Amino acid sequence: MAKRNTLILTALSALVLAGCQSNGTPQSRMQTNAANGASGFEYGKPAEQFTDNDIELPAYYSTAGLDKCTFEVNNEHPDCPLGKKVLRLYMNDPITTQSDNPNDWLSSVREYDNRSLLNQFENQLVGLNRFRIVTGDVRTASILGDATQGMSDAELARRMKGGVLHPDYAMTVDTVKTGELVTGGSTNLVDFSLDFTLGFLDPYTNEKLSYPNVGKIKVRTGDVKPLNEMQFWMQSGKVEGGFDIYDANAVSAVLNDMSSRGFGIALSRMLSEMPATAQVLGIRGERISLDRGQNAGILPDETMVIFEYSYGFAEPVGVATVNPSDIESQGRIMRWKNSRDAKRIQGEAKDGIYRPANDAKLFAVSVGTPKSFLENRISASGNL
Amino acid sequence: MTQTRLALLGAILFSCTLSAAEITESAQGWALEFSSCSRGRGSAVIQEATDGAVDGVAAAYQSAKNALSSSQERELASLLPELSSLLNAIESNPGRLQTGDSFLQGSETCVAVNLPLSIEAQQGEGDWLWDEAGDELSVRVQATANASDGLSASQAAEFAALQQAVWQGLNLIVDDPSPFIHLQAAPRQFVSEWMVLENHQQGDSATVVVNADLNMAELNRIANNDYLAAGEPVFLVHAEQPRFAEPLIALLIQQGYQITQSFDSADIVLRVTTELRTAGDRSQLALSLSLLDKASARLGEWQNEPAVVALPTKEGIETRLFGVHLASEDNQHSIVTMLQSGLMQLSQAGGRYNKIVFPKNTLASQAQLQRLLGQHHYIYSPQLLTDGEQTVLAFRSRMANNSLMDTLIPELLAILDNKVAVNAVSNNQIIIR
Repeated sequence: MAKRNTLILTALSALVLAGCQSNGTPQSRMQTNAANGASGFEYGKPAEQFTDNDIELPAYYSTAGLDKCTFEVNNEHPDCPLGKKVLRLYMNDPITTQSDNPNDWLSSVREYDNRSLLNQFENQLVGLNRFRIVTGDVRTASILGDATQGMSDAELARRMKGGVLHPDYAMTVDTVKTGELVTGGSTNLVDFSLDFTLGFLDPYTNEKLSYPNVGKIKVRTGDVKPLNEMQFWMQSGKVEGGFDIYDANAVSAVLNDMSSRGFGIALSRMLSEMPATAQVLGIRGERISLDRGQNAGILPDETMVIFEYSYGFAEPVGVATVNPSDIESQGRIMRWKNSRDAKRIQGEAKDGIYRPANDAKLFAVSVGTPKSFLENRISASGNL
Repeated sequence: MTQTRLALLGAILFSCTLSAAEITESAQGWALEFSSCSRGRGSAVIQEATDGAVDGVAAAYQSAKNALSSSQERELASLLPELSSLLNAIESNPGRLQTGDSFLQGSETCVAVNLPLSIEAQQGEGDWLWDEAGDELSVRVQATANASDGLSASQAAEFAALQQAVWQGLNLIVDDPSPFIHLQAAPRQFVSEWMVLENHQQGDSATVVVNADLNMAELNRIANNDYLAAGEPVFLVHAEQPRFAEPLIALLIQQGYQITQSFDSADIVLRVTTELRTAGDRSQLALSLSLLDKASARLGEWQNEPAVVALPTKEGIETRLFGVHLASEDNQHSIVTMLQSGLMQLSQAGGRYNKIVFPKNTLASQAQLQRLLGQHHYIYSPQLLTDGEQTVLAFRSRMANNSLMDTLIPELLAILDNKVAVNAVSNNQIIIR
């Protein structure tokens, strides 16, 4: 009897615990799997998967309106949320950890320099629409040289009217490369890992900035390649078969994939760190109309939490899937929060257009990178 | 059943589209309210929507009338004007279309438009009459003159009166009208209408009282021209490489400034300095302009932003870069602004640097000269210098030397040794021998 009681108690507590879990911390972001100890991609939960409890405000939301905006790229008001900082990317010389191995198989790793991937990273970063990027791409000069021949002085002057872009921040990428050799009887295994940190600094004062902070990113070979492809067999100091650790090209190929994944993870974290915000102009039924689009960095299939901002309090009212045009966005509320404010707005939007009042503005804030964007734009293969 | 539903749907859709335009009543009477929209964001788009408001009136009025209930229609039948007369009223007074706050609607930016529907109430109003009043100034002047140059005494007095009127008008616009003394030569271009109120003949002379309406807009246009106000200085463009001088000379001529090739006759020197900077396979050009006057006063500086244009290094790239920098509208604008502020500075300093040269021993008394210069208030910061056997009276003035010949020079000659006479007059030097 006593034994049974304990059983029931355990079952009950398990239930309570389970209840707590589903009702506990709001989850608006998800993470992909990664190899042992490595970092995964971070992405926003699709709106249809949100529970009532998940509808909460993500960090770094903003309630800035467009009233002060001039909508001129090179002359934007400092208080306008559409003003973007100009960024110049630098990549430091990657560091390779030292080894005492007399054979020095790490020389092929040491040789690898991921700075050649910087242009790629620039291209991906600028697609997020959070920054303006001054390219360090040296090809530009030669391309321009051909294009300007035969152009009149006045025409060339007109085209160069935008003037010169001076970086507000320098974004630095630091990489540490490590190689681990697991030696077995006849079969050996090599496992590389790359550690990234991203720093933002004011290039004129050398001050490092605390925001945006994407933390530390680790990518392991297992994230980009099945580990059995990294096996090799050796005899009297020579690779007899499998992955050739002395072949700089083979090593580069793996490390390139890993760098690329690392950049992707950095981007996905950056979008969580710098969410896109827009003001809601109106709601009709489930449809919402937002005042900003691509120009504010809203991505296709963006999951956004809608909140009412009134008297200094932000009250989440629902979650929507949003698609941008260049200057506006349209979306659909997939789930209303179970709250009085949400019901009031839902009720008014049902019979016509709900237009937020001046003292109770509605905003939408993105929760993280949309999964489809990660799959189709950040990762090359579609696999995360 | 289906038909009813369709009709219902139609009605709903209809009322939705119509909500954009309606006829409302306020204390000022009935008005048409609608919104005018244009795609995009920003002040340029708001302006576009505001400008486009008039094009939306016809459609808005039509749909607002359609939206009226039959009882409203009966009530308003006599009050609502015809569309054509409404449009005519707007044409004669565009201010009738009042635009309010702008707001965003999807990808469009809209402005709220309010158009009063009572046409009579607004007629004859409008603030443009005030503007015109500001362009005219009525002055009453009295002048006395003798018959001269084929003019009768009263004609000469009338002319003198108009000259005085113009002078009074100029005094209202600028602190020192002396650079514009030549405008007195033909005063009638600034007088739109005049009337002789009194005319007294006494012997050879006549005294008239004239009421003249001055065209202040025209006077303003000339008096506010920095170039004329500085005394029409002559420019010299100096560049180490002559090919860089040409485009700037063209720019100065375009501004209506006089150009000279000789240093002696220049009042202002525009110095061009260039430096080609080559980094790797790209070249940039640093270009600076400085504006100096004859007394070495610095009147202005301008530097380009070299990094704006970087082109592949090759032969002749310096000329190309120079051309591009100078062709840039922003640069042209800032160069012209620099020139204008330089002219303004010159005008504030008293005008062009000028010299009168006469033999050293012909001036009997310096005190006499000082008294003379004190009487001519258009002579600024005079200085007496000795240059070998010559005495040089250097000063600043906004008055042209031709005018000085009629004003200062006769009086100066009177206090000099009577054997001397004017030998040569240039734009910035008068030589007496």
